Amino acid sequence: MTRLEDELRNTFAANVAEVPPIHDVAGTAIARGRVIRRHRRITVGAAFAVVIAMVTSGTLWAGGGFGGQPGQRRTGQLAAAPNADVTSTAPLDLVVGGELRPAGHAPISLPGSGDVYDALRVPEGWLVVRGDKATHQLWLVRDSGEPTLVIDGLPSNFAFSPDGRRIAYQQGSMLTVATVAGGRDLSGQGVQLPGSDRSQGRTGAELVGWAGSYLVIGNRQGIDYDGYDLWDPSQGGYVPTWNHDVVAIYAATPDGRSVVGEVKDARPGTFCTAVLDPAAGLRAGDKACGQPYLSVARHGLSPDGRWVLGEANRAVGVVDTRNGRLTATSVPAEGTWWAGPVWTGRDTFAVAEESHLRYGRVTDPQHPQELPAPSTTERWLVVARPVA
Amino acid sequence: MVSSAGDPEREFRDFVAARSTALLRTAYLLSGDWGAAEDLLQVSLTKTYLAWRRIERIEAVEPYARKVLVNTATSWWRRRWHGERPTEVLPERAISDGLDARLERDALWAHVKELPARQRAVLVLRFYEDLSEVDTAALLGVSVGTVKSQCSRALATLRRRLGEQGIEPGARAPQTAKETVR
Repeated sequence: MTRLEDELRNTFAANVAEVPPIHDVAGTAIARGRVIRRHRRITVGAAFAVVIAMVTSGTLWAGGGFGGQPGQRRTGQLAAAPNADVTSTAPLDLVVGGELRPAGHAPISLPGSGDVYDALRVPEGWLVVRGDKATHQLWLVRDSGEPTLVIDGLPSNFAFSPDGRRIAYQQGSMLTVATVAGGRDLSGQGVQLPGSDRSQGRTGAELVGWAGSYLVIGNRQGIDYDGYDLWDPSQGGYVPTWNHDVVAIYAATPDGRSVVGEVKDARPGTFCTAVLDPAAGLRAGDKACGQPYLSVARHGLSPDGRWVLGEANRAVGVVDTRNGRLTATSVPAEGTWWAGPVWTGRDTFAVAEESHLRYGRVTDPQHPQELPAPSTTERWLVVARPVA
Repeated sequence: MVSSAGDPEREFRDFVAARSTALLRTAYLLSGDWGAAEDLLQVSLTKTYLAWRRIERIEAVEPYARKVLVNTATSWWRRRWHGERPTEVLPERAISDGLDARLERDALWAHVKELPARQRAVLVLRFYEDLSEVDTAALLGVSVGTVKSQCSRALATLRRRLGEQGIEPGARAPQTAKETVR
């Protein structure tokens, strides 16, 4: 815990110690809600016409609902019919609450209990991380729905490799890299990270994520990071060499030769997205300064490794891993993002908003397609697809 | 529906009566202005009311409302911000052991309000709501790594700006808060 964190807690608490009286917010919410419901009823006829057009043009709800087979449940997945734009509205697997809803297939009740924190499509089925805040379980759920417990007691600090074949996780100062392809935990590589663990948290090296075949290690000081480093597990033991100019690492190109991240600029207080050389202590090469900061999405590297997907200034942003430039941003979302953006194809992505899924294309981000999202208030996420 | 046996509007009013003050506090920290905070709360509660029949468990109501609140706050920032603005440069002061805590908090709060909305939301969720990094990431719909980097960047910015004023955060007081990193 740093003093700045203490001061933030004190400052936040002091600023809301006294709360001014407010008017009847419940009554206003109910009144506004009624107006919105009336408006929705009026527009339902128009929406129905749109649905008819979608059905006749070939975009159907798979597994029930509009165009589904009798007796099947509506799964909430979108399937593309022959004359639809199959690239931009590719089928998506969803996890809704404790249920996996594969595109075009019946829902599968997931094993275990608690929230689902991550889900990844792999050749053998789906890798699903589920559990409570502190400890998770990693399951392989096969296409048949048969579950296999791969890792029991997975700590909350974990990260899948971009290809989904490996997982790294940190328990205390022990960092473990396991191969999970085939649904088996082929553990065997662990390193002791320098630093100390105390009741007040960790100080020192800490797993942040993957960048290609490298593991990104942050130099944790309280809740803050002071520099980053990369570790190549194939090289064995780890000795930190922090680059204190690096403030975030986004991803690496598939060949591992370049890493894209955020670095401090020579001008105080400004930052640049840069291509970093992993063989030279993350030395910055090409820079793109003054562009919005990218909040990288879960599994944000595109299937071909060319783009990094995330949020930039409340819009979906895409950074080119070749030069660090923010090449595309979608139309800013007006509503609420219920799940971060995910890749649906080589250069197409989707973002889940409150009532719909918005599909976009890197080359034409300003003209997204929108389709309805699952009607649920449960926690849900889109299943990620690993880099090929 | 939260309770099939109850009156939904009555249940909704009960929820608002019980939790609106807590939500308003969070809204204020996200927006920096009590008027904007009330607007935020109103939008959040309206969406919650519309979703009321679909929310199956009463425990899910407040997380739903909070998620709407936070995401609306971050999306509103550029379009609707009309709150007070911090001064361009805060007056430089001699720093001593007797530095007034209130002045230091005011300086810190002014700099917090200058942060990008998403970074400020991360700080509020981590240091006011005491959410874990995992829960903060889930609420914001971003990766845990993003929460870490946004938080790190926000703290670095605050340190730098306070340092430019000659303020060392917390120099006047011993460490007291409990670590909540994980």
